[in-house]
Amino acid sequence: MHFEDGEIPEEYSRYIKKKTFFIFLVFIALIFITITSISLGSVHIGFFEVIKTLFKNSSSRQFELIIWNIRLPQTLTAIVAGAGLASAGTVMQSVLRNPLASPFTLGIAHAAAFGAAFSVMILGSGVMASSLSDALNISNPVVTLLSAFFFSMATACLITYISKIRGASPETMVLTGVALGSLFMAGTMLLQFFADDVQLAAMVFWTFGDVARADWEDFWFLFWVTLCLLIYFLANTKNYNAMDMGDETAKGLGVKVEPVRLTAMMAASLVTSVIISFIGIISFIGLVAPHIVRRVIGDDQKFLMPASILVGALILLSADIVARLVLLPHVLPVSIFTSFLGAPVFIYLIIKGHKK
Amino acid sequence: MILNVNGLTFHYKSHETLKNINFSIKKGETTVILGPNGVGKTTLLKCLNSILAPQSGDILVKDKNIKEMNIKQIAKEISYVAQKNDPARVTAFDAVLLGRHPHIRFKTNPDDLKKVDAIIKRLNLSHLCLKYLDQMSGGELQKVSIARALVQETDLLLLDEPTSSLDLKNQTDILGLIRHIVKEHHIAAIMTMHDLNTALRYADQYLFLKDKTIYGAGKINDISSKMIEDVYDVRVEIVYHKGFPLVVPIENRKAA
Repeated sequence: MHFEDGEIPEEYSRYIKKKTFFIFLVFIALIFITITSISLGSVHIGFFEVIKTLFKNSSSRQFELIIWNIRLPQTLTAIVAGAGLASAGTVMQSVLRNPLASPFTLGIAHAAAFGAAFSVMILGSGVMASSLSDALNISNPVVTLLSAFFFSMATACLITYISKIRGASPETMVLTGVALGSLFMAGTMLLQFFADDVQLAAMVFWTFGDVARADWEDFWFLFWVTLCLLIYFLANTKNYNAMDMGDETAKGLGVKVEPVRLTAMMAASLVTSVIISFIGIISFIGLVAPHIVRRVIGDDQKFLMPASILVGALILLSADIVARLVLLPHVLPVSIFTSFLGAPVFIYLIIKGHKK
Repeated sequence: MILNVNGLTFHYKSHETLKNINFSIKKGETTVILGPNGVGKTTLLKCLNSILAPQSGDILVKDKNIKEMNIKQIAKEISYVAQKNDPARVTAFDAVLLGRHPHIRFKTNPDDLKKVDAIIKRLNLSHLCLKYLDQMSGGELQKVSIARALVQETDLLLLDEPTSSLDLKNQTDILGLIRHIVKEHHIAAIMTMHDLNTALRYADQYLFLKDKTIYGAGKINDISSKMIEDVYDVRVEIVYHKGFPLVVPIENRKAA
């Protein structure tokens, strides 16, 4: 069969341009917020001074130290973690066809946190200190990551299995996530119970997600793992688009649905694990970012995925700025603010019904 | 012959659903699979394009065994319209563009977009082009699904209950369109259906399933009231109104 050729409708091209423009706008906003984030803190550094310092053209040695040793790794970590969590949420919502899915709501984040804590305490892959600024120093990131990944992957497999049971509603999956989340939280508490004072302080502090604790070494590890997975997700957007139409339709379009779903869940668990191992539990970014983007530009994964990644980075970075400034000189962990943002969105989604 | 099915058997775990199914389909014909609820009509359709894997038997598309084809190659030969389509927040144009998925290697090219436009115009869907699927009615959604299957440019269309949730106007529109496209492009369509009258009106060939296997097959005009009685266990009469056959159940009238 062959149909005569038509033309590319102008209104469609305009519509595509509109979506591209949205992504461009978020990108510009992200650059702006990045520089703002570097400039704000207990010591205020001017906007242009930041740019000059970044290009190694600074007049002040003090500014250089603050920016390169403290603010820049923290800012970049927030960007990478936000991007990674948002991509994990977007892909989970798509392959499980569940708008309530995200690493946090499905209990995968808690499983990863337990795995990382288990590795640090029992397998000795990290050194704990009582100082709040550097509560935990992971000496063996690979072991920590593998342990976190193992537990989050087990959870992801269980959730994927439950999603296949006929009639498993999005709520059923989230309730399973709540149960698994509680289970792993109890596991983490058990570890805490047997921890000594120093370890306990470190672990409690660590359960608050905070991007400030990553140094350059942590950042690069986080960056490379996340980057590979983001590329993987972006390369698969076509398959996720087909799966959004339903499994049977996707198979009819030549998509190997089961392997794509399983590897997507594995990749999403891995990205969640690496972020949580280094900076603790950060809630709701994976849920909120794709929903904001979906409101504006719809479900088409070719645009939804990159836009969610950027919006996730933007939200986490903005929340981090607020967390740093709101109670100065106290610096709050960023996860408190992402929860303030995420909980109302989650409740709204439940009230509104679960149409994507 | 575009499709040959030889000795197909399928069971869900230990429950046998289909056994020893044999039939073939010619180009230019619309075939309808009929039979009571739960007899395996949808299962048979899903076996034909490997959504389900039959335990034994061969399915040949243009003399090629689909066991030796990968899922993308199958998607280039057979397109499938599911009974239920999830309405995502995607525009009709993008949803139809997905039909090019088996043909696109890396990036959508202008040719793909032009093909989508041609089909959308052909099905009179231009006004829905930028409407999101989750804002559409059942009939519009079904037309979009059919457009997606057509843009796949296959020679065999499989449609699972294409009119089950549609009103009379949409039913006649969609079935008329499928029939027309099958003739015009000399392809083949196989659909499952419940409504015998619609089947008699729009199909060329029938395939009755009963007791997990084929009870009978042939030209749609050869369906007799005896066959329908055997398959559905209901007494019926076939009457002709202005030249169109109509199936009228008579058991119910007695009961009333």
